Amino acid sequence: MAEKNSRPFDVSTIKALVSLMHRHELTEIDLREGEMRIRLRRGPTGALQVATAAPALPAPVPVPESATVSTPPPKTEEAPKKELLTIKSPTPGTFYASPNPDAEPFVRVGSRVEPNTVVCIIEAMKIFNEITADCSGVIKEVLVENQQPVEFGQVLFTVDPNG
Amino acid sequence: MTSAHDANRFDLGRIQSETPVAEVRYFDRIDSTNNAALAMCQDIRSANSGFPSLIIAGTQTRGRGRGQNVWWSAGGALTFSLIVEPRVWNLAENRWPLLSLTAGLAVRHAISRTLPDHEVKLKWPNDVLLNGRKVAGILVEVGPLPRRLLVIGIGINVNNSFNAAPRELRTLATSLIDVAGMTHELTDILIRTINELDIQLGRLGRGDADLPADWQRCCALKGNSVTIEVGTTRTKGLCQGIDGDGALILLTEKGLARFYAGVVSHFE
Repeated sequence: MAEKNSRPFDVSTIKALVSLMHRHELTEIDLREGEMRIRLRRGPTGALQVATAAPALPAPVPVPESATVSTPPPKTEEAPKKELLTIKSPTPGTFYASPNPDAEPFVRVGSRVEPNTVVCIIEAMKIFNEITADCSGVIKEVLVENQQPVEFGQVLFTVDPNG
Repeated sequence: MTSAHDANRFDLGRIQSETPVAEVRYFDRIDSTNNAALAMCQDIRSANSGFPSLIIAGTQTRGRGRGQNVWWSAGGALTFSLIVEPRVWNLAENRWPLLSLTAGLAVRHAISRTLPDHEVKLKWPNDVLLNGRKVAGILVEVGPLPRRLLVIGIGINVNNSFNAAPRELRTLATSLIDVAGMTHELTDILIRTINELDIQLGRLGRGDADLPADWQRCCALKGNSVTIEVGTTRTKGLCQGIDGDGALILLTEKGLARFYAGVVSHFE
């Protein structure tokens, strides 16, 4: 939870709380410190609802995406951190970055991908399976070396959907 | 007695009526049935059949095995490819690597039923051995996007004797005719194999918990000293068999090691 000396209106504290809620699938966090209070709720569709009050609490207002906070006095808000998407290996096997040893890699850092873009091959038990991005964006990281063994569900690439 | 020539002819009507394949395409001579099947994947319309198309070759001029290996194919070998609709079989992508072993098990059972007095085993991950020599190989490939049908290519040495083959090949490979001393109807072996595939793919799709035990029971490498090459790395160990997720397990100097890819270059 929030550290003793941090204030509930602190944006970084709220971000940490939001992260905790997602990680532990909490539907609500209600914190009070003196006359200050912060209540975070996730709506039925997963939308995050945020309310802060001192001391009377208005009804929570749905916030469609990341948390925004209205606090008196208003402060300059940090831009929400971009959430990176991941491309994972559907099977254990061997990672191949290119269609053959002499060819260019399917993608590099900075490559734009669409859902049907082939990003690598995973070989397992002699089956060479072309893996598609299944998302749109720009490759941010390539996390596996060519011909490296990979596990089921291992993250191979991160993708910036807003890149 | 059936002549070798007749035994090597296919009865397409029987294949169509005695197996669940939706259509049969026969080529007297073709480079590779898998190449033909992969090219056909785009045109497959039926979405309800588990086996939308079967491609049979009279003679395959450049059948492909693993990597650059070419399937040595004299007249009398059974070479065919099945197009498989994974959705009909409930085969999610994470199960595709198990297709080589599953198809291998089907081929193994079909041969064993034909020659019940002989030892037929799986050589991880995609070969079948008859009395310790290679009698069949399987090559599973994924069809083009966006549909991604699967192609299971199978080559079985049936009436192609290795008596005339190069000596080094004779020690590694064998055929049904060399072991049994008689010809077999290719149509019979083909129907038997497809119907076994029908059974085994069904088990894989249902997540049959006994399937891995069958791989294990039929594993030719278990108990053998095995050398496996993965890229440029060679590992030697005592084979413990095949794991439930299809991995080959070796007991090496550093402990147990699991392999999902690699070439078994030597075993004894």
